Amino acid sequence: MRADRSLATSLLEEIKELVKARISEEALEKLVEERLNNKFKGLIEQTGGVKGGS
Amino acid sequence: MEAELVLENVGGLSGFHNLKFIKGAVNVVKAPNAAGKSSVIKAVALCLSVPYKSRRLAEIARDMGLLRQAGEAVEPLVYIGAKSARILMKFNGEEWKLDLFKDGNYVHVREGEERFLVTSLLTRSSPILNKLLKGDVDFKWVVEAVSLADRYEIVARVIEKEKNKARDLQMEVERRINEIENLKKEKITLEEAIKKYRQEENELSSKLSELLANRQEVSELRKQRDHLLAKIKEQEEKIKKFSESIKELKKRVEELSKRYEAKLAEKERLEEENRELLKEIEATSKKLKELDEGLKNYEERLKEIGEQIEALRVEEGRLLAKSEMYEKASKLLAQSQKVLCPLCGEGYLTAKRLKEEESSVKRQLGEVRDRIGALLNERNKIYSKLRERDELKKELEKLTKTHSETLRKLQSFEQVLSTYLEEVKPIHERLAGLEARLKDEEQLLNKYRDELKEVDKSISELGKEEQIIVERIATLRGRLEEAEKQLKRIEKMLETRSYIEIIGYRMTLERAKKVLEGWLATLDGVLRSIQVEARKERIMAVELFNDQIKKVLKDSKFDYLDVWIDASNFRLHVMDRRVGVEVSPRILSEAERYVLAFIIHVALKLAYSPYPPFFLIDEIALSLDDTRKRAILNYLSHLAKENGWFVILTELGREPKITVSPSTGL
Repeated sequence: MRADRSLATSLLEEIKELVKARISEEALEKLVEERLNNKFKGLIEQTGGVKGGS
Repeated sequence: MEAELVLENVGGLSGFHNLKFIKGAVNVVKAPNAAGKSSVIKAVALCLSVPYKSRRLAEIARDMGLLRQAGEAVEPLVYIGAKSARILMKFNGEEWKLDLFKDGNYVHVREGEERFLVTSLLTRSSPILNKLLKGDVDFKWVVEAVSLADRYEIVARVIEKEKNKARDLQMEVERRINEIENLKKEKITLEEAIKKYRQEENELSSKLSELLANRQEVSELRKQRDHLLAKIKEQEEKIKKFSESIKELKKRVEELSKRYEAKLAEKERLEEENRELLKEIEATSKKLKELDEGLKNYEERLKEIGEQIEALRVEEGRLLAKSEMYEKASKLLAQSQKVLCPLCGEGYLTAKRLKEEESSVKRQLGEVRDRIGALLNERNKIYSKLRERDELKKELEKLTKTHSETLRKLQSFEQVLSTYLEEVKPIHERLAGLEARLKDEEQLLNKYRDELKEVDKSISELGKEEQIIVERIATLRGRLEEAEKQLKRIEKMLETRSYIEIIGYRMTLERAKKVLEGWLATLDGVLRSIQVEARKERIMAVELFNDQIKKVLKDSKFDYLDVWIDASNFRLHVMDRRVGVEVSPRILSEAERYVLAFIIHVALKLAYSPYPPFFLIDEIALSLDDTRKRAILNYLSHLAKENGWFVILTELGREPKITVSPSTGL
């Protein structure tokens, strides 16, 4: 599977905003982790992942 | 315009201190050694730069003594005798306030410019000065501290971490895919084995059928065997039923026996009670008889006693009268010498005679009274015995009544017990019948079993080949069963292991593989972009610095130096234009190194943090010769005027307290 261009673009924009925001480095790390997690979830849902246990 | 600084218990300064600084001028803070000059500079720097969002800058603040190091007990800028310090800076209508507590907490009213620490504060513990002293020209850290590169690097690390997580998942998916492949291969092998076993079993069964068809005798024996087996089974069922019936009956008999035993025990207890009662009745009757014996003719005796008492009462009266007369005679005798006998009226009584008569009468009276007492006593005894006899009679009646009741109860027990025997007797008879029947059936069963043994013996002798085939079929069936079990297990594993759960989402391994490939490719792309951004930030920062320092060198008249940062490796280069040679900061004189640090700070200040408009130098005069010091002061004065800065310097003063005054140069 190739990289999702639109996903990468939106993720990059969000990260740039966070980098420029007046927040601590700890908060920056945490927020970037959150954004990555959300995007990954979005990608899974987009490709038909089913939420819930086995 | 002025800036007002209010300090309360800051560093080495206890209590309140109010200092004023002039805008667009160089303000010199003077005080003797250890009087708090450095505390003023550090307080202003801290107040204008907190909070530190960058770990690197927070570390610099700790290294420069603005905040406490890890492990230190108290804040360096809180006066040792106070719980907290307050720093208040007012300028341009703005208020910057910081309350700093001994435990390391602080409260600020507005966010400062954290880069101020690197750009606008020159002390002997400034990191730039220290690095130059060591000859360390790697200025990447400065470039990263003043730009957003540090923050992009942090993001890059987070993305790398996420990539590692995704790679771990990818490896797990790969491992599972391989596992599935192996399971599929194992499944195929098992399916082939099962097919082979079944084929072999069919072949053997056909062969067995053929053999059996050919062997009439074995076939007959087998029929006989089957017949016997059916009979044995039937017989076993029958025996089982008989045994169950016997068990039921025995249980019933046992229950009845228990009840019988209980009644019997009660009956025995009653019989014992009855025996005791009879003994008691006998004893009471004997006693009564004895009493009756003692009271024989008691009526006549009572009559006699009555008459005797009556006669004795008369005698008693007579003797009392006689006694009274003798008493009167005694009184008369006391008055005269002679007294006529009161009884016979003849002759005279002497005092001696009178006394003798009197005592004789009293003795007789006593005897009469004793006899009356004895008779009364005897009569009372008779009455007492009569009462005792009445009581004994009553008791005997009572005992007799109880005895009758006990006898009645015993009779009823006899009836109950005889009922039990009537009830139990037919059961026993039935039981005996069943047991006899059971024995017969068991004998029959044993007979069938013996016959079966004989038939089996004949079969085994006649059909050894068939037996071998049968055994082989049995072995094959065992293997087949085992293979089928394994197949089921593998199918179940294939079903469960073909799926994986990633951050709460369930998907097939193939889908997971594709998703992870896509995610890793996306992360790679984002990471590359982030690295490009970080590089851009660094290059922009370097270009800005290089442009700015050229201007600073020119304006400050220190342009015999050429200073720049190489954008490819972020190393600082210093060239002495007078000799056209690049020099290491380590070999520069202390004064030259100080000048270099100064111009680097000014360039950084102008490039990255012109606001807040403060530039702070602690102990400027220590290492500088007059020429360089003058040049620096002149340039600072020019910068202050041109940019509207508050330049604050500290110098050793003679007055005992802290003073602030505009610089007058040298």
